[in-house]
Amino acid sequence: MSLTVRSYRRVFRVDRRIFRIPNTNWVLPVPGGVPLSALGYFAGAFLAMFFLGRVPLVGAAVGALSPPLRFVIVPLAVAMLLSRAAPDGRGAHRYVAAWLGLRLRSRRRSLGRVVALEGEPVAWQAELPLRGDGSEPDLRRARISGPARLRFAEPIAVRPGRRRRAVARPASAEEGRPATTLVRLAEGETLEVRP
Amino acid sequence: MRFPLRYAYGNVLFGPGEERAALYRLETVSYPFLPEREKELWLQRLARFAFAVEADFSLWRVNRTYAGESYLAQAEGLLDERYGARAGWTTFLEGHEEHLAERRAHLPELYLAVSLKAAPPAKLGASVMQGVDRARRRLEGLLGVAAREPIARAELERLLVAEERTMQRVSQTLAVRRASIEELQWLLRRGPCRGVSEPALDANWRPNALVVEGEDGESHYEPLETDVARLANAPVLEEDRGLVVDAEEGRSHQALFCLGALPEVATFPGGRAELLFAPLEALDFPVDVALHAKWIANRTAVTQVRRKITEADNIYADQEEGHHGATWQAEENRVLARELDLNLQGEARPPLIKATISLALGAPSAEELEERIELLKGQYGTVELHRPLGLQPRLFLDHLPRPDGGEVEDYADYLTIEQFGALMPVGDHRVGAEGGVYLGETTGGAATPVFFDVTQASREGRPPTGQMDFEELGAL
Repeated sequence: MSLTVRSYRRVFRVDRRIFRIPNTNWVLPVPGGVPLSALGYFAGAFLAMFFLGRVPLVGAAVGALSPPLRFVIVPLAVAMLLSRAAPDGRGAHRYVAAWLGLRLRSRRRSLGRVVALEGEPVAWQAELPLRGDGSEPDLRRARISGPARLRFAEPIAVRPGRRRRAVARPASAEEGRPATTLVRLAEGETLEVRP
Repeated sequence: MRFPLRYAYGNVLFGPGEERAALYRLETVSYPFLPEREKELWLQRLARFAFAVEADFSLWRVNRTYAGESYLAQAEGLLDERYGARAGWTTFLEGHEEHLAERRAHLPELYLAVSLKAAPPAKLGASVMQGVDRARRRLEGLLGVAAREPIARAELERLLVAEERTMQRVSQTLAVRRASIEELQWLLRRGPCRGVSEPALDANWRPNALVVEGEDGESHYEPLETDVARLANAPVLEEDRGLVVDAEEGRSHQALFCLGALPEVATFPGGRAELLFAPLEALDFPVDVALHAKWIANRTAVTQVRRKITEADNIYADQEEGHHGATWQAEENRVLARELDLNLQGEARPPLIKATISLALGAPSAEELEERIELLKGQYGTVELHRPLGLQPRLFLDHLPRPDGGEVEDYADYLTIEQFGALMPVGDHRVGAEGGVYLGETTGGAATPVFFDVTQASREGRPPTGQMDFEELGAL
C-alpha cells in the first residue's frame, strides 16, 4: 500500500491582494484584485523617478517626461511588470538586487579576496624587497661566520684573505683555483660569498 | 559573504559567530531493492529523526569516486593457493582494476550537521553576563567593529556534553557515527574540484588553535582559521549562472541549483516523492545535495499556521466581495491550512521544517556541464530546478560543511516531517560486500560496483548469502 505525501507550501505562500478599498464600498475595478507587492513596487518606482530627477545628466532625461508619465504611468508599468514576473522563481526585487550585486562586485575571488581575472595585467608600483634564505638555486651575496659547514649547489672557489676572512666566488670566475661545493669554517672564521 | 567555518574540535564545528554544530556520518541504505513495507519504515525513521532532533540541521549528500586504487591489494589475499595459481589470479584482478579505473563509479556519502546549543552556566550571574556579552557582540557585529572571540575552555566542555546528547538522540533513529577529521578535510577539499577529480588529502592535517590565558585565568582557544579556510581556497570566477573554480587538481566548471516547489501531492514510494534519491541515482555522473533545515517546534508551528488560517479566511472573504467572487485556490487554501493545523495538533504534535535544498554539479568543461544540466533537469521533470543569478558563490559555500544552516534562504520551503522522510536522502544502490572480488555493477545510471567476499559471512558470524542478496544480485 502506498502513502500520499502532501505539500503545504501554498499555506505559507499566500498571494495577498486588495479587492476593495477598506472601510468603503468601492470595489477595485481590477479583475483578480491588486497584488500588495505591486503597491510596494509602485512606491519604489515612484521614489526612484523622484530621486533620479535630481541627479545631474540623468535628471535632464527624466525631467523631459511629463509629470503624469513620470509619476504615474512609468511606476504603474514597472509595478505591473515586476509583480507578474518571478525570474529564477523568486521575487523580482530579489532578482534585481542579485543582478546589481553581480554587476558591481569583482568577478574573481578567492575566499572573499579579489584576485585578478585570467590574463588581466597586474600593475605593481611598489618595491618588492627580497631576502634569500639560502635554498634558492642562484648563488647570493652572503657573509657567514663560523663554526659552519656549507654546501653549495654549484662549484665555488675560495680565496683566503686577511684576519681569518675568505672570499667565495663562482668557480667559473676564479680560474686556476680549485673548485669545491663543501666549505668548513672554524670558530672565528668568516666567509664572504660574492656571486 | 564570509567563510562559514572557523575551527573544528573533533566533530564539533565552530562558525565565525556563535554558530556551533556537530558533524556526523550517516549510513546509507540499499534502497531500491527493499520491499515496499521496508521503504515506508525508512520514511518513518527519517521522519522520527526530524521529530526527535530538536535543533536546526544540515544534510550533505556527496559523492566519492571509486577508482579502484585499493582493489588489487584487498582482493589479492582472497586466493587459496592450494587451488589456484598466484600469477593467473593477479592478472585476473588487474583486469578488474583497469575496468574500475575506467568506469570511475561514484558512491554517495551522507553527512549530517546538527546545531548545538550549549547548556547555559548553572550560576545566574554567569548566565546573565553571557547574555550581555552576546548582545554586545551582536551590536559590534552590526556596527562592523566585531573582533573574533576566542573559544573558552568552559564553552568547549559544555559543547562536548551537548554533542554527546545529540549523538544519542540521532542514533536512536539512524545509524550514525561521528565524522572524522579526515572526512571533514575531504568535504572541504572536494568543493573546488567537484566533478573533476578526487582531492589530494594531507594525512597529517589537523585544525590548530593557540591556547591563551584569559583575564579570568581560564584557558581560551584562539583558532588558526587559515588551517580550515585554506582547504577550500581556490580562485572562483563568478559567471552569470555558474562558477569556474581553479582548484589545485584542475579547473572545475560548476553550476548550483535550488529545488523549486515540491509536488503538491506525491505517492510514496515513487520518484516524485524520493527527490533526493531517485533522480540522483539515475544519472551516471555525481550530483551533490545540501539540505539546510530550520527546525520549528510544534508550538511555534501551530501559532504560524493559525495565523495563516486567518489570512486564508480573510483572502477568501475579500475575494467574495470582488467582481468575480472567490477562486477555487482561495477555497482550497482554507481547507489546506486547517488540514495542516489538524496534523500539527495530532497526538504526536510534530514539528515543521523550513528547508532549502540545493544541488551542485561539476564538470571538466563548460560544454560537458551544460550536457549534464540537461540530463539532471530531465530527471527532475516537473520539479523546477532554479539556477539563480547572483547566488552561485553563496550556494557554493552552502555546500561546504558549515554550522550555521546555510546562507541562501530565497527558496526555503515548509516541509512536514513526512515530506522530509519521503525525500529519502539515505538511499543508494550499494549492494554486495564492502570489498572482495568485483562481480559487476548495478543497473541504472549510478552503476555502483558490486563485490563478492567469500570470507565475509564467516568473519561477521552470519549465514552466507540470504534471500536479500539474491534479489540484489538479480539487479546486476
